[in-house]
Amino acid sequence: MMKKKKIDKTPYLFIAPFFLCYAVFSAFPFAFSFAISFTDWNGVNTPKFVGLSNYIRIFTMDAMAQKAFLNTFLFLIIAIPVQVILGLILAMIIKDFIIGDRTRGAFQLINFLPYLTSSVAIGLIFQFLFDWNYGTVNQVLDKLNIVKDHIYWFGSEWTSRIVVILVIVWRNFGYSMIIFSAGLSTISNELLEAAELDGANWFQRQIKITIPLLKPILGFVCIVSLINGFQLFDEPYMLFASQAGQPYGGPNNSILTVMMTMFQASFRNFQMGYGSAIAYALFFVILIFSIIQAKIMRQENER
Amino acid sequence: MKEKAKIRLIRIPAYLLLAITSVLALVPFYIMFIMGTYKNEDIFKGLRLLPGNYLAQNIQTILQGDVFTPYLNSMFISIVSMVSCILVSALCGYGMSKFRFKGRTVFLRILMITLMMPYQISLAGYLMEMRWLHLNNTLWPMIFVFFANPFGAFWMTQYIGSSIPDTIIESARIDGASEFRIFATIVLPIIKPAIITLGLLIFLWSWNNFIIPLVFVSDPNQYTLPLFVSTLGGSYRIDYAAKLLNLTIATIPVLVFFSIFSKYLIKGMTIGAVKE
Repeated sequence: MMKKKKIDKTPYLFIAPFFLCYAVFSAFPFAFSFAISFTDWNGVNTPKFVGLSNYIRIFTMDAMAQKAFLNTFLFLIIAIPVQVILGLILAMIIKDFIIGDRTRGAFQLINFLPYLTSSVAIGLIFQFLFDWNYGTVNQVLDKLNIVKDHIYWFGSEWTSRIVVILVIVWRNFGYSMIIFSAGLSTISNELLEAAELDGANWFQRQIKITIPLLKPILGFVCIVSLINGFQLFDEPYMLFASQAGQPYGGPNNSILTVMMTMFQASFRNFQMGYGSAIAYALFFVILIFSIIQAKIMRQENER
Repeated sequence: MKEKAKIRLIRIPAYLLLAITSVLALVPFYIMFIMGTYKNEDIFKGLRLLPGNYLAQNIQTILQGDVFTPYLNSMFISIVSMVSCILVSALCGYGMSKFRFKGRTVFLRILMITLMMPYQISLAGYLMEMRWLHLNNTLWPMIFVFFANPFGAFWMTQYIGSSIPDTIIESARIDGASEFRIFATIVLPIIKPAIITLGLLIFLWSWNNFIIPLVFVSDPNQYTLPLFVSTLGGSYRIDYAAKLLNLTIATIPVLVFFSIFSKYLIKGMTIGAVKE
Protein backbone atom coordinates (compact mmCIF):
# COMPACT_ATOMS: atom_id res chain seq x y z
CA MET A 1 0.00 0.00 0.00
CA MET A 2 1.11 3.52 -0.70
CA LYS A 3 1.61 5.82 2.20
CA LYS A 4 -0.99 8.52 2.55
CA LYS A 5 0.39 11.67 1.01
CA LYS A 6 -0.59 15.27 1.36
CA ILE A 7 -3.55 16.16 -0.83
CA ASP A 8 -2.14 15.81 -4.24
CA LYS A 9 -3.65 16.57 -7.60
CA THR A 10 -1.60 13.95 -9.44
CA PRO A 11 -3.97 10.95 -9.15
CA TYR A 12 -6.84 13.07 -10.39
CA LEU A 13 -4.79 14.11 -13.40
CA PHE A 14 -4.18 10.45 -14.20
CA ILE A 15 -7.80 9.40 -14.05
CA ALA A 16 -9.18 12.61 -15.57
CA PRO A 17 -8.82 11.65 -19.25
CA PHE A 18 -10.89 8.51 -18.78
CA PHE A 19 -13.65 10.01 -16.69
CA LEU A 20 -13.88 13.19 -18.75
CA CYS A 21 -13.98 11.31 -22.05
CA TYR A 22 -16.52 8.93 -20.57
CA ALA A 23 -18.68 11.81 -19.40
CA VAL A 24 -18.62 13.51 -22.80
CA PHE A 25 -18.79 10.57 -25.19
CA SER A 26 -20.75 8.01 -23.18
CA ALA A 27 -22.48 9.29 -20.07
CA PHE A 28 -24.00 12.29 -21.82
CA PRO A 29 -25.38 10.26 -24.76
CA PHE A 30 -26.79 7.73 -22.27
CA ALA A 31 -28.52 10.38 -20.21
CA PHE A 32 -29.69 12.25 -23.27
CA SER A 33 -31.09 9.09 -24.89
CA PHE A 34 -32.92 8.33 -21.68
CA ALA A 35 -34.43 11.83 -21.67
CA ILE A 36 -35.40 11.52 -25.33
CA SER A 37 -37.20 8.26 -24.60
CA PHE A 38 -39.93 10.25 -22.80
CA THR A 39 -40.52 12.51 -25.76
CA ASP A 40 -41.91 12.52 -29.24
CA TRP A 41 -39.06 13.85 -31.35
CA ASN A 42 -37.77 13.53 -34.88
CA GLY A 43 -34.40 15.05 -34.08
CA VAL A 44 -35.22 18.39 -35.72
CA ASN A 45 -38.43 19.84 -34.28
CA THR A 46 -39.03 20.73 -30.64
CA PRO A 47 -39.26 17.56 -28.54
CA LYS A 48 -42.71 16.98 -27.03
CA PHE A 49 -42.82 15.40 -23.59
CA VAL A 50 -45.08 12.35 -23.67
CA GLY A 51 -44.30 10.68 -20.35
CA LEU A 52 -44.20 6.91 -20.39
CA SER A 53 -46.30 6.55 -23.49
CA ASN A 54 -43.38 5.39 -25.67
CA TYR A 55 -42.74 2.54 -23.26
CA ILE A 56 -46.42 1.73 -23.01
CA ARG A 57 -46.66 1.70 -26.78
CA ILE A 58 -43.91 -0.93 -27.06
CA PHE A 59 -45.67 -3.41 -24.83
CA THR A 60 -49.32 -2.74 -25.60
CA MET A 61 -49.62 -1.53 -29.16
CA ASP A 62 -46.56 -2.26 -31.23
CA ALA A 63 -46.90 -5.88 -32.34
CA MET A 64 -43.73 -5.57 -34.42
CA ALA A 65 -41.60 -4.51 -31.46
CA GLN A 66 -43.07 -7.29 -29.35
CA LYS A 67 -42.26 -9.77 -32.06
CA ALA A 68 -38.71 -8.40 -32.14
CA PHE A 69 -38.34 -9.09 -28.42
CA LEU A 70 -39.75 -12.59 -28.88
CA ASN A 71 -37.49 -13.30 -31.85
CA THR A 72 -34.42 -12.14 -29.96
CA PHE A 73 -35.27 -14.32 -26.95
CA LEU A 74 -36.02 -17.24 -29.23
CA PHE A 75 -32.68 -16.96 -31.04
CA LEU A 76 -30.81 -16.86 -27.76
CA ILE A 77 -32.73 -19.69 -26.12
CA ILE A 78 -31.89 -21.96 -29.04
CA ALA A 79 -28.44 -20.73 -30.02
CA ILE A 80 -26.75 -20.25 -26.65
CA PRO A 81 -27.14 -23.82 -25.31
CA VAL A 82 -25.83 -25.18 -28.61
CA GLN A 83 -22.83 -22.88 -28.81
CA VAL A 84 -21.98 -23.30 -25.13
CA ILE A 85 -22.24 -27.10 -25.08
CA LEU A 86 -20.37 -27.42 -28.36
CA GLY A 87 -17.66 -25.09 -27.09
CA LEU A 88 -17.36 -27.05 -23.85
CA ILE A 89 -17.08 -30.43 -25.59
CA LEU A 90 -14.50 -29.10 -28.05
CA ALA A 91 -12.41 -27.57 -25.28
CA MET A 92 -12.43 -30.93 -23.46
CA ILE A 93 -11.53 -32.84 -26.59
CA ILE A 94 -8.70 -30.48 -27.48
CA LYS A 95 -7.31 -30.70 -23.97
CA ASP A 96 -7.50 -34.48 -23.52
CA PHE A 97 -7.08 -36.00 -26.95
CA ILE A 98 -4.92 -33.67 -28.98
CA ILE A 99 -1.22 -34.12 -28.45
CA GLY A 100 1.22 -31.25 -28.74
CA ASP A 101 0.79 -27.61 -27.83
CA ARG A 102 1.08 -26.49 -31.44
CA THR A 103 -1.63 -28.79 -32.73
CA ARG A 104 -3.86 -27.78 -29.86
CA GLY A 105 -3.25 -24.12 -30.63
CA ALA A 106 -3.97 -24.67 -34.31
CA PHE A 107 -7.31 -26.37 -33.61
CA GLN A 108 -8.24 -23.63 -31.19
CA LEU A 109 -7.42 -20.94 -33.73
CA ILE A 110 -9.35 -22.62 -36.55
CA ASN A 111 -12.50 -22.92 -34.47
CA PHE A 112 -12.04 -19.38 -33.19
CA LEU A 113 -11.63 -17.74 -36.61
CA PRO A 114 -15.36 -17.11 -37.16
CA TYR A 115 -15.48 -15.08 -33.96
CA LEU A 116 -12.66 -12.83 -35.21
CA THR A 117 -14.37 -12.19 -38.53
CA SER A 118 -16.50 -9.11 -39.02
CA SER A 119 -20.13 -10.06 -38.49
CA VAL A 120 -21.05 -8.03 -41.56
CA ALA A 121 -18.83 -10.21 -43.72
CA ILE A 122 -20.30 -13.29 -42.07
CA GLY A 123 -23.81 -12.11 -42.88
CA LEU A 124 -22.87 -11.63 -46.51
CA ILE A 125 -21.13 -15.01 -46.78
CA PHE A 126 -24.15 -16.78 -45.33
CA GLN A 127 -26.45 -14.82 -47.59
CA PHE A 128 -24.53 -16.39 -50.42
CA LEU A 129 -24.25 -19.88 -48.89
CA PHE A 130 -28.02 -20.11 -48.36
CA ASP A 131 -29.10 -18.50 -51.59
CA TRP A 132 -32.05 -20.25 -53.17
CA ASN A 133 -30.54 -20.69 -56.59
CA TYR A 134 -26.77 -20.92 -56.50
CA GLY A 135 -26.12 -21.13 -52.76
CA THR A 136 -23.67 -23.82 -51.73
CA VAL A 137 -26.01 -25.34 -49.16
CA ASN A 138 -28.74 -25.99 -51.69
CA GLN A 139 -26.21 -27.23 -54.24
CA VAL A 140 -24.87 -29.75 -51.76
CA LEU A 141 -28.32 -30.87 -50.63
CA ASP A 142 -29.20 -31.26 -54.27
CA LYS A 143 -26.09 -33.30 -55.07
CA LEU A 144 -26.72 -35.61 -52.13
CA ASN A 145 -30.36 -36.01 -53.22
CA ILE A 146 -31.58 -34.94 -49.80
CA VAL A 147 -34.12 -32.49 -51.19
CA LYS A 148 -36.08 -32.60 -54.39
CA ASP A 149 -36.35 -28.86 -54.88
CA HIS A 150 -34.04 -26.16 -53.69
CA ILE A 151 -35.10 -24.76 -50.33
CA TYR A 152 -35.96 -21.07 -50.39
CA TRP A 153 -34.24 -20.38 -47.06
CA PHE A 154 -35.02 -16.68 -46.99
CA GLY A 155 -38.60 -17.19 -48.09
CA SER A 156 -40.34 -18.48 -44.99
CA GLU A 157 -40.33 -17.68 -41.30
CA TRP A 158 -38.72 -20.75 -39.83
CA THR A 159 -36.11 -21.43 -42.48
CA SER A 160 -35.03 -17.80 -42.13
CA ARG A 161 -34.78 -18.22 -38.39
CA ILE A 162 -32.78 -21.40 -38.81
CA VAL A 163 -30.25 -19.55 -40.95
CA VAL A 164 -29.94 -16.77 -38.36
CA ILE A 165 -29.48 -19.31 -35.56
CA LEU A 166 -26.87 -21.18 -37.59
CA VAL A 167 -24.98 -17.94 -38.15
CA ILE A 168 -25.05 -17.12 -34.44
CA VAL A 169 -23.85 -20.58 -33.45
CA TRP A 170 -21.21 -20.67 -36.17
CA ARG A 171 -19.81 -17.33 -35.14
CA ASN A 172 -19.84 -17.89 -31.38
CA PHE A 173 -19.02 -21.50 -30.54
CA GLY A 174 -15.32 -20.73 -30.81
CA TYR A 175 -15.67 -18.02 -28.19
CA SER A 176 -17.19 -20.48 -25.70
CA MET A 177 -14.44 -22.91 -26.59
CA ILE A 178 -11.55 -20.58 -25.78
CA ILE A 179 -13.09 -19.49 -22.49
CA PHE A 180 -13.60 -23.11 -21.47
CA SER A 181 -10.08 -23.97 -22.61
CA ALA A 182 -8.72 -21.27 -20.34
CA GLY A 183 -10.90 -22.62 -17.54
CA LEU A 184 -9.79 -26.20 -18.09
CA SER A 185 -6.16 -25.20 -17.81
CA THR A 186 -6.79 -24.06 -14.24
CA ILE A 187 -8.12 -27.44 -13.09
CA SER A 188 -5.45 -29.43 -11.32
CA ASN A 189 -4.58 -32.78 -12.81
CA GLU A 190 -4.33 -34.47 -9.41
CA LEU A 191 -8.08 -34.79 -8.98
CA LEU A 192 -8.53 -36.15 -12.47
CA GLU A 193 -5.68 -38.61 -12.09
CA ALA A 194 -7.00 -39.83 -8.78
CA ALA A 195 -10.40 -40.40 -10.36
CA GLU A 196 -8.75 -42.25 -13.23
CA LEU A 197 -6.97 -44.54 -10.79
CA ASP A 198 -10.32 -45.22 -9.13
CA GLY A 199 -11.54 -46.49 -12.46
CA ALA A 200 -13.62 -43.54 -13.62
CA ASN A 201 -13.73 -43.39 -17.40
CA TRP A 202 -13.36 -40.22 -19.45
CA PHE A 203 -17.07 -39.37 -19.50
CA GLN A 204 -17.46 -39.95 -15.79
CA ARG A 205 -14.45 -37.76 -15.04
CA GLN A 206 -15.85 -34.94 -17.14
CA ILE A 207 -19.30 -35.10 -15.58
CA LYS A 208 -18.25 -35.72 -11.99
CA ILE A 209 -15.16 -33.51 -11.78
CA THR A 210 -14.56 -31.17 -14.69
CA ILE A 211 -18.05 -29.77 -15.20
CA PRO A 212 -18.73 -29.03 -11.51
CA LEU A 213 -15.38 -27.21 -11.31
CA LEU A 214 -16.21 -25.24 -14.43
CA LYS A 215 -19.58 -24.06 -13.11
CA PRO A 216 -18.58 -20.41 -12.53
CA ILE A 217 -17.08 -20.21 -16.01
CA LEU A 218 -20.17 -21.87 -17.45
CA GLY A 219 -22.20 -19.10 -15.82
CA PHE A 220 -19.86 -16.44 -17.18
CA VAL A 221 -20.05 -17.75 -20.75
CA CYS A 222 -23.84 -18.03 -20.68
CA ILE A 223 -24.35 -14.52 -19.36
CA VAL A 224 -21.82 -12.85 -21.62
CA SER A 225 -23.42 -14.65 -24.57
CA LEU A 226 -26.84 -13.45 -23.42
CA ILE A 227 -25.75 -9.83 -22.98
CA ASN A 228 -24.07 -9.76 -26.37
CA GLY A 229 -26.89 -11.72 -27.94
CA PHE A 230 -29.53 -9.22 -26.83
CA GLN A 231 -27.75 -6.67 -29.00
CA LEU A 232 -27.90 -8.91 -32.05
CA PHE A 233 -28.00 -6.70 -35.12
CA ASP A 234 -25.26 -7.11 -37.72
CA GLU A 235 -25.91 -10.65 -38.92
CA PRO A 236 -29.69 -10.57 -39.37
CA TYR A 237 -29.43 -7.06 -40.79
CA MET A 238 -26.93 -8.28 -43.35
CA LEU A 239 -28.95 -11.38 -44.23
CA PHE A 240 -32.05 -9.39 -45.11
CA ALA A 241 -31.90 -5.62 -44.94
CA SER A 242 -28.84 -5.39 -47.14
CA GLN A 243 -30.34 -7.69 -49.74
CA ALA A 244 -32.18 -6.06 -52.61
CA GLY A 245 -35.79 -7.17 -52.68
CA GLN A 246 -35.84 -8.67 -49.19
CA PRO A 247 -38.03 -7.30 -46.39
CA TYR A 248 -36.14 -5.53 -43.59
CA GLY A 249 -37.06 -8.01 -40.87
CA GLY A 250 -37.28 -11.10 -43.04
CA PRO A 251 -40.53 -12.81 -44.03
CA ASN A 252 -43.25 -11.67 -41.63
CA ASN A 253 -40.59 -9.95 -39.50
CA SER A 254 -39.49 -13.40 -38.39
CA ILE A 255 -35.85 -12.43 -37.88
CA LEU A 256 -36.42 -8.87 -36.70
CA THR A 257 -34.37 -8.25 -33.54
CA VAL A 258 -34.82 -5.56 -30.90
CA MET A 259 -31.76 -3.66 -32.10
CA MET A 260 -33.08 -3.78 -35.65
CA THR A 261 -36.38 -2.27 -34.47
CA MET A 262 -34.51 0.39 -32.53
CA PHE A 263 -32.35 1.20 -35.57
CA GLN A 264 -35.34 1.38 -37.88
CA ALA A 265 -37.32 3.61 -35.53
CA SER A 266 -34.49 5.99 -34.59
CA PHE A 267 -32.47 6.29 -37.75
CA ARG A 268 -34.78 5.39 -40.63
CA ASN A 269 -38.17 6.65 -39.43
CA PHE A 270 -36.61 9.39 -37.27
CA GLN A 271 -38.74 8.54 -34.26
CA MET A 272 -35.87 9.31 -31.91
CA GLY A 273 -38.06 9.15 -28.82
CA TYR A 274 -39.66 5.85 -29.62
CA GLY A 275 -36.36 4.34 -30.77
CA SER A 276 -34.67 5.38 -27.54
CA ALA A 277 -37.50 3.87 -25.52
CA ILE A 278 -36.95 0.54 -27.31
CA ALA A 279 -33.23 0.81 -26.61
CA TYR A 280 -33.84 1.48 -22.93
CA ALA A 281 -36.43 -1.28 -22.62
CA LEU A 282 -33.73 -3.62 -23.90
CA PHE A 283 -31.16 -2.07 -21.61
CA PHE A 284 -33.24 -2.84 -18.52
CA VAL A 285 -33.36 -6.48 -19.60
CA ILE A 286 -29.60 -6.50 -20.16
CA LEU A 287 -29.02 -4.79 -16.83
CA ILE A 288 -30.55 -7.66 -14.90
CA PHE A 289 -28.06 -10.06 -16.43
CA SER A 290 -25.17 -7.63 -16.04
CA ILE A 291 -25.85 -7.42 -12.33
CA ILE A 292 -25.90 -11.20 -12.07
CA GLN A 293 -22.61 -11.31 -13.92
CA ALA A 294 -21.03 -8.72 -11.65
CA LYS A 295 -22.13 -10.83 -8.68
CA ILE A 296 -20.55 -13.95 -10.16
CA MET A 297 -17.32 -12.08 -10.86
CA ARG A 298 -17.20 -10.76 -7.33
CA GLN A 299 -17.69 -14.26 -5.88
CA GLU A 300 -14.94 -15.49 -8.17
CA ASN A 301 -12.54 -12.84 -6.98
CA GLU A 302 -13.31 -13.58 -3.37
CA ARG A 303 -12.62 -17.27 -3.69
CA MET B 1 -4.56 -52.28 -20.93
CA LYS B 2 -8.32 -52.39 -21.08
CA GLU B 3 -8.54 -48.71 -20.12
CA LYS B 4 -6.09 -47.82 -22.89
CA ALA B 5 -8.25 -49.54 -25.47
CA LYS B 6 -11.28 -47.66 -24.21
CA ILE B 7 -9.52 -44.35 -24.53
CA ARG B 8 -8.67 -45.19 -28.11
CA LEU B 9 -12.30 -45.96 -28.78
CA ILE B 10 -13.43 -42.60 -27.42
CA ARG B 11 -10.82 -40.95 -29.56
CA ILE B 12 -12.57 -41.72 -32.81
CA PRO B 13 -15.79 -39.73 -32.16
CA ALA B 14 -13.74 -37.07 -30.41
CA TYR B 15 -11.46 -36.54 -33.40
CA LEU B 16 -14.44 -36.77 -35.71
CA LEU B 17 -16.34 -34.00 -33.93
CA LEU B 18 -13.30 -31.76 -33.84
CA ALA B 19 -12.63 -32.42 -37.52
CA ILE B 20 -16.22 -31.59 -38.43
CA THR B 21 -16.34 -28.31 -36.53
CA SER B 22 -12.93 -27.32 -37.87
CA VAL B 23 -14.05 -27.95 -41.42
CA LEU B 24 -17.33 -26.12 -40.82
CA ALA B 25 -15.43 -23.18 -39.38
CA LEU B 26 -13.26 -22.93 -42.48
CA VAL B 27 -15.63 -23.87 -45.29
CA PRO B 28 -17.47 -20.54 -45.57
CA PHE B 29 -14.15 -18.72 -45.94
CA TYR B 30 -13.01 -21.25 -48.52
CA ILE B 31 -16.18 -20.97 -50.58
CA MET B 32 -16.00 -17.20 -50.43
CA PHE B 33 -12.49 -17.36 -51.84
CA ILE B 34 -13.27 -20.00 -54.46
CA MET B 35 -16.29 -18.14 -55.81
CA GLY B 36 -14.16 -15.05 -56.32
CA THR B 37 -12.06 -16.96 -58.83
CA TYR B 38 -14.95 -17.77 -61.18
CA LYS B 39 -16.74 -15.97 -63.93
CA ASN B 40 -20.09 -14.83 -62.60
CA GLU B 41 -22.10 -16.99 -65.00
CA ASP B 42 -20.20 -20.10 -63.94
CA ILE B 43 -21.22 -19.72 -60.32
CA PHE B 44 -24.76 -20.58 -61.35
CA LYS B 45 -23.73 -23.77 -63.12
CA GLY B 46 -23.52 -26.01 -60.10
CA LEU B 47 -21.27 -26.70 -57.16
CA ARG B 48 -17.73 -25.35 -57.36
CA LEU B 49 -15.10 -26.68 -55.01
CA LEU B 50 -11.84 -25.95 -56.82
CA PRO B 51 -10.49 -22.53 -57.79
CA GLY B 52 -11.45 -21.21 -61.21
CA ASN B 53 -9.37 -19.20 -63.64
CA TYR B 54 -11.17 -15.88 -63.66
CA LEU B 55 -9.39 -14.31 -60.71
CA ALA B 56 -7.44 -11.71 -62.69
CA GLN B 57 -10.54 -10.46 -64.50
CA ASN B 58 -12.49 -10.24 -61.25
CA ILE B 59 -9.68 -8.25 -59.70
CA GLN B 60 -9.94 -5.83 -62.60
CA THR B 61 -13.68 -5.46 -62.02
CA ILE B 62 -13.07 -4.70 -58.36
CA LEU B 63 -10.36 -2.16 -59.04
CA GLN B 64 -12.88 -0.10 -60.99
CA GLY B 65 -14.55 0.49 -57.65
CA ASP B 66 -12.79 2.01 -54.71
CA VAL B 67 -11.55 -0.64 -52.30
CA PHE B 68 -8.72 1.37 -50.86
CA THR B 69 -10.64 4.25 -49.33
CA PRO B 70 -12.63 2.02 -46.93
CA TYR B 71 -9.44 0.18 -46.04
CA LEU B 72 -7.59 3.40 -45.26
CA ASN B 73 -10.56 4.80 -43.31
CA SER B 74 -10.82 1.66 -41.22
CA MET B 75 -7.06 1.68 -40.65
CA PHE B 76 -7.12 5.28 -39.51
CA ILE B 77 -10.12 4.79 -37.23
CA SER B 78 -8.81 1.60 -35.65
CA ILE B 79 -5.28 2.83 -35.09
CA VAL B 80 -6.32 6.15 -33.56
CA SER B 81 -8.93 4.37 -31.40
CA MET B 82 -6.38 1.83 -30.29
CA VAL B 83 -3.62 4.27 -29.37
CA SER B 84 -5.88 6.68 -27.53
CA CYS B 85 -7.69 3.91 -25.68
CA ILE B 86 -4.41 2.37 -24.51
CA LEU B 87 -3.17 5.72 -23.27
CA VAL B 88 -6.39 6.73 -21.52
CA SER B 89 -6.80 3.28 -19.96
CA ALA B 90 -3.23 2.99 -18.75
CA LEU B 91 -3.27 6.49 -17.23
CA CYS B 92 -6.51 5.69 -15.46
CA GLY B 93 -5.24 2.28 -14.34
CA TYR B 94 -2.12 3.80 -12.84
CA GLY B 95 -4.05 6.55 -11.08
CA MET B 96 -6.61 4.12 -9.70
CA SER B 97 -4.27 1.40 -8.55
CA LYS B 98 -1.17 3.16 -7.29
CA PHE B 99 -2.60 6.15 -5.46
CA ARG B 100 -4.83 6.47 -2.45
CA PHE B 101 -6.95 9.57 -2.83
CA LYS B 102 -10.22 11.05 -1.78
CA GLY B 103 -13.11 9.70 -3.79
CA ARG B 104 -11.19 6.69 -5.06
CA THR B 105 -13.86 4.19 -4.06
CA VAL B 106 -16.51 6.34 -5.68
CA PHE B 107 -14.57 6.43 -8.93
CA LEU B 108 -14.03 2.68 -8.72
CA ARG B 109 -17.75 2.17 -8.30
CA ILE B 110 -18.49 4.42 -11.25
CA LEU B 111 -16.01 2.40 -13.30
CA MET B 112 -17.83 -0.81 -12.34
CA ILE B 113 -21.13 0.70 -13.45
CA THR B 114 -19.72 1.87 -16.78
CA LEU B 115 -18.80 -1.75 -17.49
CA MET B 116 -22.50 -2.57 -17.67
CA MET B 117 -23.46 0.11 -20.19
CA PRO B 118 -23.42 -1.05 -23.82
CA TYR B 119 -22.95 2.04 -26.01
CA GLN B 120 -25.45 0.69 -28.55
CA ILE B 121 -28.22 1.80 -26.20
CA SER B 122 -27.21 5.45 -26.41
CA LEU B 123 -26.84 5.78 -30.17
CA ALA B 124 -29.65 8.32 -30.60
CA GLY B 125 -28.18 10.65 -27.99
CA TYR B 126 -24.71 10.17 -29.41
CA LEU B 127 -25.88 11.05 -32.90
CA MET B 128 -27.52 14.26 -31.70
CA GLU B 129 -24.45 15.23 -29.68
CA MET B 130 -22.17 14.71 -32.69
CA ARG B 131 -24.56 16.76 -34.83
CA TRP B 132 -24.35 19.65 -32.41
CA LEU B 133 -20.57 19.43 -32.46
CA HIS B 134 -20.72 19.32 -36.28
CA LEU B 135 -18.78 16.07 -36.24
CA ASN B 136 -21.46 13.80 -37.66
CA ASN B 137 -19.98 13.80 -41.15
CA THR B 138 -16.47 12.99 -40.02
CA LEU B 139 -14.69 9.82 -38.92
CA TRP B 140 -14.51 11.03 -35.32
CA PRO B 141 -17.78 9.56 -33.97
CA MET B 142 -16.36 6.11 -34.72
CA ILE B 143 -13.18 6.94 -32.80
CA PHE B 144 -14.55 8.79 -29.77
CA VAL B 145 -16.53 5.79 -28.52
CA PHE B 146 -13.26 3.98 -27.87
CA PHE B 147 -11.50 6.83 -26.04
CA ALA B 148 -12.99 5.91 -22.70
CA ASN B 149 -13.41 2.15 -22.86
CA PRO B 150 -14.59 0.84 -19.47
CA PHE B 151 -13.15 -2.61 -20.05
CA GLY B 152 -9.74 -1.11 -20.86
CA ALA B 153 -9.68 1.16 -17.81
CA PHE B 154 -10.93 -1.58 -15.52
CA TRP B 155 -8.48 -4.15 -16.73
CA MET B 156 -5.51 -1.75 -16.62
CA THR B 157 -6.44 -0.91 -13.04
CA GLN B 158 -6.32 -4.57 -12.13
CA TYR B 159 -3.23 -5.34 -14.19
CA ILE B 160 -1.13 -2.42 -12.99
CA GLY B 161 -2.31 -3.04 -9.45
CA SER B 162 -1.11 -6.62 -9.46
CA SER B 163 1.89 -6.57 -11.78
CA ILE B 164 3.86 -3.57 -10.52
CA PRO B 165 5.29 -3.80 -7.01
CA ASP B 166 4.71 -0.64 -4.98
CA THR B 167 8.35 -0.69 -3.90
CA ILE B 168 9.61 0.05 -7.42
CA ILE B 169 7.41 3.10 -7.66
CA GLU B 170 8.27 4.18 -4.12
CA SER B 171 11.99 4.10 -4.79
CA ALA B 172 11.56 6.04 -8.02
CA ARG B 173 9.61 8.65 -6.10
CA ILE B 174 12.36 8.85 -3.51
CA ASP B 175 14.84 9.37 -6.34
CA GLY B 176 12.77 12.41 -7.23
CA ALA B 177 11.23 11.19 -10.47
CA SER B 178 8.00 12.96 -11.38
CA GLU B 179 4.82 10.85 -11.51
CA PHE B 180 4.52 11.20 -15.28
CA ARG B 181 8.11 10.15 -15.69
CA ILE B 182 7.46 7.10 -13.54
CA PHE B 183 4.42 6.31 -15.65
CA ALA B 184 6.31 6.63 -18.93
CA THR B 185 9.59 4.98 -17.98
CA ILE B 186 8.58 2.38 -15.39
CA VAL B 187 4.89 1.56 -15.69
CA LEU B 188 4.47 1.45 -19.47
CA PRO B 189 7.41 -0.92 -20.12
CA ILE B 190 6.25 -3.36 -17.43
CA ILE B 191 2.68 -3.54 -18.68
CA LYS B 192 3.68 -4.16 -22.30
CA PRO B 193 1.84 -7.52 -22.51
CA ALA B 194 -1.35 -5.86 -21.30
CA ILE B 195 -0.89 -3.03 -23.80
CA ILE B 196 -0.54 -5.48 -26.67
CA THR B 197 -3.61 -7.45 -25.57
CA LEU B 198 -5.80 -4.40 -25.02
CA GLY B 199 -4.56 -2.79 -28.22
CA LEU B 200 -5.45 -5.84 -30.27
CA LEU B 201 -8.89 -6.14 -28.68
CA ILE B 202 -9.70 -2.49 -29.35
CA PHE B 203 -8.36 -2.80 -32.87
CA LEU B 204 -10.59 -5.85 -33.42
CA TRP B 205 -13.70 -4.19 -31.96
CA SER B 206 -13.12 -0.95 -33.80
CA TRP B 207 -12.30 -2.68 -37.07
CA ASN B 208 -15.44 -4.84 -37.00
CA ASN B 209 -17.75 -2.12 -35.70
CA PHE B 210 -20.76 -1.75 -37.94
CA ILE B 211 -23.68 0.01 -36.30
CA ILE B 212 -21.91 3.32 -35.62
CA PRO B 213 -20.74 3.87 -39.19
CA LEU B 214 -24.16 2.69 -40.35
CA VAL B 215 -25.78 5.44 -38.28
CA PHE B 216 -23.27 8.18 -39.03
CA VAL B 217 -21.78 7.73 -42.46
CA SER B 218 -23.52 8.45 -45.74
CA ASP B 219 -20.63 9.74 -47.83
CA PRO B 220 -18.84 6.84 -49.63
CA ASN B 221 -15.55 8.66 -49.03
CA GLN B 222 -16.00 7.92 -45.35
CA TYR B 223 -17.06 4.28 -45.65
CA THR B 224 -15.40 1.91 -43.26
CA LEU B 225 -14.70 -1.59 -44.41
CA PRO B 226 -17.78 -3.23 -42.79
CA LEU B 227 -20.00 -0.47 -44.19
CA PHE B 228 -18.44 -0.93 -47.61
CA VAL B 229 -19.05 -4.68 -47.33
CA SER B 230 -22.68 -4.10 -46.37
CA THR B 231 -23.27 -2.07 -49.53
CA LEU B 232 -21.94 -4.99 -51.58
CA GLY B 233 -25.00 -6.97 -50.53
CA GLY B 234 -27.48 -4.47 -51.85
CA SER B 235 -25.86 -3.59 -55.13
CA TYR B 236 -28.11 -4.23 -58.10
CA ARG B 237 -25.13 -4.90 -60.32
CA ILE B 238 -25.34 -8.61 -59.80
CA ASP B 239 -21.77 -9.75 -60.16
CA TYR B 240 -21.55 -12.24 -57.33
CA ALA B 241 -18.05 -13.36 -58.20
CA ALA B 242 -16.69 -9.85 -57.94
CA LYS B 243 -18.77 -9.26 -54.81
CA LEU B 244 -17.30 -12.28 -53.07
CA LEU B 245 -13.78 -11.49 -54.19
CA ASN B 246 -14.29 -8.02 -52.78
CA LEU B 247 -15.38 -9.63 -49.54
CA THR B 248 -12.33 -11.89 -49.56
CA ILE B 249 -10.03 -8.93 -49.96
CA ALA B 250 -11.88 -7.10 -47.21
CA THR B 251 -11.68 -9.94 -44.67
CA ILE B 252 -8.75 -12.27 -45.25
CA PRO B 253 -5.71 -9.96 -44.74
CA VAL B 254 -6.95 -8.70 -41.40
CA LEU B 255 -7.97 -12.20 -40.37
CA VAL B 256 -4.40 -13.32 -41.01
CA PHE B 257 -3.21 -10.41 -38.90
CA PHE B 258 -5.53 -11.40 -36.05
CA SER B 259 -4.47 -15.04 -36.36
CA ILE B 260 -0.82 -14.13 -35.91
CA PHE B 261 -1.67 -12.40 -32.65
CA SER B 262 -4.46 -14.77 -31.64
CA LYS B 263 -2.61 -15.72 -28.46
CA TYR B 264 -2.95 -12.17 -27.15
CA LEU B 265 -6.53 -11.84 -28.33
CA ILE B 266 -7.52 -15.10 -26.66
CA LYS B 267 -5.83 -13.97 -23.49
CA GLY B 268 -7.72 -10.70 -23.57
CA MET B 269 -11.04 -12.38 -24.10
CA THR B 270 -10.66 -14.73 -21.18
CA ILE B 271 -10.12 -11.81 -18.81
CA GLY B 272 -12.86 -11.82 -16.24
CA ALA B 273 -13.78 -15.44 -16.88
CA VAL B 274 -10.68 -17.04 -15.45
CA LYS B 275 -8.55 -15.94 -12.55
CA GLU B 276 -4.98 -15.29 -13.61
